[in-house]
Amino acid sequence: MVIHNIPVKVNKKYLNVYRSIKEYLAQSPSFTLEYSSLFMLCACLGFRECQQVTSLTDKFDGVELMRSQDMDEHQQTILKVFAIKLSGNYEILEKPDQIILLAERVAERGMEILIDKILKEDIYEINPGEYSLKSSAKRLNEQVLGMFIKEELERNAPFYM
Amino acid sequence: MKIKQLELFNFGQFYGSQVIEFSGADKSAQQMITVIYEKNGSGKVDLYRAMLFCLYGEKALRRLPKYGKDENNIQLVNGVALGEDASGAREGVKAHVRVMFSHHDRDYEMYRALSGIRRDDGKIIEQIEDLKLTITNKAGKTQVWGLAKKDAIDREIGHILDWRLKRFFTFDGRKIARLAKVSQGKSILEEIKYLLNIDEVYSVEEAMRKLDKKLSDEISKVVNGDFRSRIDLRRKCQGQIEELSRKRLAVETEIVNACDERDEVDKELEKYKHIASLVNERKNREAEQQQLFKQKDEAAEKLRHFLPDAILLLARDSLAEVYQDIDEGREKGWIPFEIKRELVEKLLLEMSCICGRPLMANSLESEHLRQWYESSGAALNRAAMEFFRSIGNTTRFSNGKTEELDRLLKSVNSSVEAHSLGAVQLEKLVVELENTANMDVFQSYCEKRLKLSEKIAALEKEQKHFSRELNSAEAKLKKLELEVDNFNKESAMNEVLQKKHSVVIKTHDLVKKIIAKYVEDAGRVLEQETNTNFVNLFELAGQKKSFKKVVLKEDYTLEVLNDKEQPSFLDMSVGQRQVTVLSFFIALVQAASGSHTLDVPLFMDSPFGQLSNEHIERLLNYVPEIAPQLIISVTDKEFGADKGSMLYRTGRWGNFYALEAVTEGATTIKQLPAELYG
Repeated sequence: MVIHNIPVKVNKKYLNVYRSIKEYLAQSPSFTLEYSSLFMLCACLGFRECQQVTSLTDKFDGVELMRSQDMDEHQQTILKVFAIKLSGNYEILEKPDQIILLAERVAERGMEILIDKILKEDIYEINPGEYSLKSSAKRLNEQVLGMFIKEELERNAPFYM
Repeated sequence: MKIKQLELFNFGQFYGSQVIEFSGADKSAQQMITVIYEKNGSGKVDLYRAMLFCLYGEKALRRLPKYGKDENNIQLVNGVALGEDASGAREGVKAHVRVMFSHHDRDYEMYRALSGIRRDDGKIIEQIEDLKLTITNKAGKTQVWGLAKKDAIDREIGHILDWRLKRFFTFDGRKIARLAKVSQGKSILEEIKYLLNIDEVYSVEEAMRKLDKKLSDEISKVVNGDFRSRIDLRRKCQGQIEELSRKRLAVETEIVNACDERDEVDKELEKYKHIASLVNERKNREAEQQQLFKQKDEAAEKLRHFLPDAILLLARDSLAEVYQDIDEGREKGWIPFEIKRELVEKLLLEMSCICGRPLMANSLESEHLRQWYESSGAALNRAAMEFFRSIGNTTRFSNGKTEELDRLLKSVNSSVEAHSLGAVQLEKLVVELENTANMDVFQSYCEKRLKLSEKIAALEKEQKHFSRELNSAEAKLKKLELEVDNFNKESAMNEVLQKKHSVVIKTHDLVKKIIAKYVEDAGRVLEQETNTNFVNLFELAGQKKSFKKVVLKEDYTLEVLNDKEQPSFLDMSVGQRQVTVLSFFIALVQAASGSHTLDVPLFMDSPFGQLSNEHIERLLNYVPEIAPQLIISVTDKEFGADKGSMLYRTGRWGNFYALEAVTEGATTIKQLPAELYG
């Protein structure tokens, strides 16, 4: 079942960070790393840290990054897996808005991890409470990101091959 | 003729008194090869110039662009001696050349002296001071002829060494190498015409052509209508032919001059061979870097496209867990494998078992069914079943992606590293080149050479164009002449003029045919001699002969036919082509001297070029059979230990001299033992 037409939000303070990463990674006219992939990266990183979510009813003050149908079948499957693990039951599969909400929560945590691990030197406050990336983040190319993903995989499974 | 000794005093590059004694001067001498070794690019040319100056009073070896067309621009008195005189006594510098040789039982000593002085404005004035020929016969009787008998001296020298031979007896290795690259018909035709010595016949041909034109003009005054228009057209066509011939000749002369100039540049570039190899290495590395950059880019592009799939790998553990969870649940009956929830509901409603037997309320079977229904509520929904399939799809999608991520990362890392390393090495090379002395000089020679090559290519294109135009104009002229001839026969015009003109046309045609016949006959003789030389120089021991003979084509280019009678000059290696051209040049000397066996020494300047060792060996064994003496001048670049020992092994090598420029403009001649290469 495709989760359709639900806005996917991110914390306002990180919106420009998402935009900057996408812009700096867009080095080839034939390819751009979409928000869906960036969001997935943050969601995967965040899920590993927060196995429990505080409350599903907590308000999440975010701005729209994309729509749910911008994510493909595999990305949505993974978000559902996260939702099942976090909620502890399969009934959540019938509540797509809650799946997205949970994903937004873990993605926020994931963005904090990403900043901490590889963007610490590049982040700055563009406006009070809003962050963006300096042009030094242009070093964040496919090689850096690829190595980061590999390290994360190895961290959790040393014999991951 | 056998040359015994050459003495120079303040002549050309040679400062003070310098002497060379040539091997083979004695009748019975087995050793007849003299080697003159030039270490640092100075003096060789002046040796030949000294010979020609002494024997013929000439300054130029051939017209070089840097000397313009005036051989008076050539300075013969040594520059260092002139400089010393200019800052000292200011009495002028004396210089001379003495050549001692023997010919037919007589000994000759030719002496020609000059003096020079440098004026305050830097201009150098030279003049001939003395000329003396001493002839001693077998009986010991001596005659001495001085300046007053200059004509007699010229005649005597001309009898011994035909004036045509002076052009041929020095073999310019570079010219031969150039002709080996592209056999130039015009150069070869010029050599043949020079050899024929029929300038008077050419003068007659020129006179006939002018007379033809003059009579045409006169006739055109007395005719009109169609006849006149044909005559006018013919005159116009003749004018066109004249003009095209002139233009083509000018272009051909320009080509020769540009080639000569380029040869001079090549000679200079030889001194910077080490820079050339560095520049070449830089070019190769730059190309390599471009390739590495492309590879790096492609690897990065592939990785970039793969990132969305790589990100999914971070969730594979969770995917596996949930997949296993659902799968276990299926086995435990949480999600009955064959029984759908609707069916269970239906059974409970109808109180009937799946086999159709009615169920009793509170029976064990109905209790089991109810438990079953309640326990499957943990993951009962259709969404869970579909989700199970989705997880399977995503898991299968991610299979192999970990290995692919690794592979792509390795590819990117290694290409980035290779590119960086290449950049460092290239940078080192660039710095080395920047710090190389004379880099600017080398670059300016390279640019000059490039411009000359472009000029030559453009001129050759123009030459071909003029040749095509000329052929077409000549064909048109033939047709017009036929028409005019017909008109002549029909018309009742001035018969006297007509007759005269007809005679002139016929005579002109005849003279042209005579010239063509001379050239053709000379060409045939040359072709024959060339083939004799070719067979002796070319056959390699133990190899099947695939190149059969040399032919001189109608356009005076050289061609070599293989044993299938097919043209194969261009299939030969550069060395083989050089042997072919060398065979032709030796044939020119033989034709000029009128005999297969030469009566004069051969001077060969840098003859080895790109000849293989076998060819060199054959050359060194063959030339002593046809010439009394062989004088070879070589540079340090082409005469190493291998060539030296090859020459030594012939047993024919006698004297060995090294030219060394001790300072700029002051070369000395030092005799060395040939045994150094033994």
